[in-house]
Formats: sequence, C-alpha cells, structure tokens
Amino acid sequence: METLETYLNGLFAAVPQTPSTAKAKQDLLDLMTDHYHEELAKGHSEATALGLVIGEFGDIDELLAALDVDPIPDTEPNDRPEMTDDDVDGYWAGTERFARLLGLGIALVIAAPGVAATLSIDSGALAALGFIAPVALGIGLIIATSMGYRTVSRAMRALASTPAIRARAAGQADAYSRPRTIGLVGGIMMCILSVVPPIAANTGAFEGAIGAGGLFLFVAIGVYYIVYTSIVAGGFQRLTRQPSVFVDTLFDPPAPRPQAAPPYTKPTTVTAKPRRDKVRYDGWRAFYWPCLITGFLLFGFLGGEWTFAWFLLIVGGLFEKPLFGRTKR
Amino acid sequence: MISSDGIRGYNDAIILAVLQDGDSYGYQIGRAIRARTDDLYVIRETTLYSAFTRLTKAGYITAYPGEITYGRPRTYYHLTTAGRAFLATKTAEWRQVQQVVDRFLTEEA
Repeated sequence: METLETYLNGLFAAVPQTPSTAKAKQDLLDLMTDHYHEELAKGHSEATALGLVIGEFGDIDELLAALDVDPIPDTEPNDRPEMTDDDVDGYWAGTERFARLLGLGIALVIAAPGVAATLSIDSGALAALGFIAPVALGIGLIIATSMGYRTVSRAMRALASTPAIRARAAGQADAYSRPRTIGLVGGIMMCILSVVPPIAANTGAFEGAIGAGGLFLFVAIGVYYIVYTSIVAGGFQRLTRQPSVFVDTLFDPPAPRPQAAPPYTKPTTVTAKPRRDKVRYDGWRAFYWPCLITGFLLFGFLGGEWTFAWFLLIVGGLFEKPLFGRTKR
Repeated sequence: MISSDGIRGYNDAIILAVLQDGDSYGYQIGRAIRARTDDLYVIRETTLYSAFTRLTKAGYITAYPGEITYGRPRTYYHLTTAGRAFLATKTAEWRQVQQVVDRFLTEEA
C-alpha cells in the first residue's frame, strides 16, 4: 500500500503533525486499504483499484476543518496558477521524449567502440569514422535533449500541482511500476549477456572484432532500457509529491521535505538553505561532462593513451565543483 | 447519485443510524450506506472520517481498537446514549424538514 501511503503523506505534508492528524492519517489509510481490497475483490486490476480509491477519496480541506487544523502556510506566497491535465499530459509526453532521446544518445556513445571494432575488419579509417560518428551524434543528442527538457520542466515549475494531479500521478506511477521493473531487469540482463558475443567469438563462431562489437551493442541496449524506464517513472513520481510547487529533481536542487515535528510543538517550516557556492560559467555546465567523456574516449580508444584519458576524466571531475558550484540549476 | 452537498447536515445522523444496528468500522459503515441506498449515495472517505471526528468530539460515538486486519487493528465505533438521543432528535427534525420541502417541491401547485 505504498502508493496510498505516499498519496496520504502528500496530502498531509503541509499539515501540522499532531496526535490527532497522525491518527486521522492512519485511520484514512485503513479506510482506503479496505476500499482498495474490495475493488480488487470485484476483479479490478491493482492500478484501476488504486485509481478508484484515490478518485473517491474526497476533499482534504473538509477533513482539516473537522480536525480544527490549518495547513502550515507556504514559506513563500504561492500565487502560481494550478496545473491542468493538459499541462501534465504535455510534461509526461516531454519526459517520454527526453527519456527516449537521452537513452539513445547514451546508447550511441556506448555502442561507438563496438561499431569501430566491427568496422576495423575492413579498414582503420572506417573504424575511426564508425567511432566518431556515433559519439558525435550521441553527445549532440544528449546536449540537445537535455536543454530541450529544461524548457519543459521550467514551464511546469511555474505551476502549482493540485491533489487531483497528485492522485493522477500516483495512479500512473503505480501503473508504470511493472514496465519499469521489466525495463530494469531486461536492461541488467542485456548487460550481463554482453559477455556472450566475445565468448562465442573465442569459440570461433565469428571474428573477435564482431564479438567486441556485440559486447558494446548489448550493453548499449541494456543501458537504453534502464535510462528510458527510470526517467519515465521519475516523471510520474515527481508529480506525486508535495510541496504543491513542482520540483524537477533532474535540474533542480532536491525539494526540502517537510519535517515531522514532535507532538505539541510549534510546527517547523523548512526554508531553503542559502547556497554558499558561487555559480560560475553556468551556461557551459551542460557541455562539461560530454566534453570530458569525449576527450576520455578519444584519448583512450583512438590515441591509446589510457593513462592520460583517465587523468583527464578524474581531474575534470574534481574541477567541476570549483568551476560551476555545488548545485545544478 | 446524490452528492455530499445535497445531503449535508444529515451525514452524521445517517452514520448514527447505521451504528444503531451495532458497532462497526469505517469502511463497513460507508459500504452499509451505499448498500442501503442502492448505490444512490456513496459517502467519501474524507466526509466519513470528518463525521467520525465530529461525532466523537460531541460524545455521540466512541472509538475502540477492534480486530486486526492487514496488520493493524481496525478502529470500531460504538453509538453512545447521547448519540441515540441525538439521532432521535435528528429523526424528528428530518420529518419536519421533509414535510416542508415536500410542500414546495413535490406537491402539485
């Protein structure tokens, strides 16, 4: 009943934690759990049952009035317009597209050495082209899709979610849990099975270069599925959360989680910690890691200078914080 | 289907009437209301729990832990003597309300 609990936690996140509200939350969870099991007994699927329970839950304000509690006021005035179903559909479509293109970009970069190895059978120049073309295309895709997705997430950040939106997102997140598991398990299986082509090549089934190509191809497909399903699931999960202001964990700092105050104490509100790190050269941040990885791959695979390639990657990683500050924006 | 707004003011009395037949727990009370109205009135969980809170504060019902289901004891509700008296008052009031409204909405002009 994790979804129902998450849904209730979201509704009660802005409510002072007192014994009566804690009891109300637990009793409501019991009510919803009974309802959920009855819908299952009627033959509904888990996702449909959850949707019905959340859809028929009712209005939290009515309950708060009966409990004589007022929600904790937001730390900043929340005059953002509310999200509509169209906004949410657009955000999820954008997230799906982002997941597809980012997964493809990463997969292309991973597959590049495999393509180069396979093409090296014919000529060295073709192998170099077979390496550079997928890497360039992959990095281009990663940068372009990441920047495009910022626009989508910024538009959502200007809107405030509603209990109905959070309920819908909770239902979607739950319905997607099975595809996500299949994607993760399938992706991991592909990574494990990537050793099969080299082993087959060793037995003489085909050339060693094709075995190496198969290894990178299997890993690339596996990583694609892991990245794709994780991002799509994250898109649903993100909208299930309180506070009502949308926060995108991919590009925003993590949302301050409401703290449970002990009984009979003044409820505490969480304010964002002042950022001490200066953010410099922020516009270049999107290009930083792709450039580092390209340098690593070029020096490693093409130049054969693995010591320098690793040095570049590690030192580059260490310089990220001084150059751009701690928090991604 | 009747909305909560349409029946507001009598939710508490309806719950007390269900409890008149014996102690019960949240979801079972909601289901009894639904069954006795042939699905015409489906009371929402928040409306139900708000009513339990009000009725408990007023002393018309008491709550106690009952059988353990899905790993937790269910909260059962019991109608008190004060609750029975309140239900009798609301029943008399409803008869008057019904007469008054009928004169405007159902009797032929």
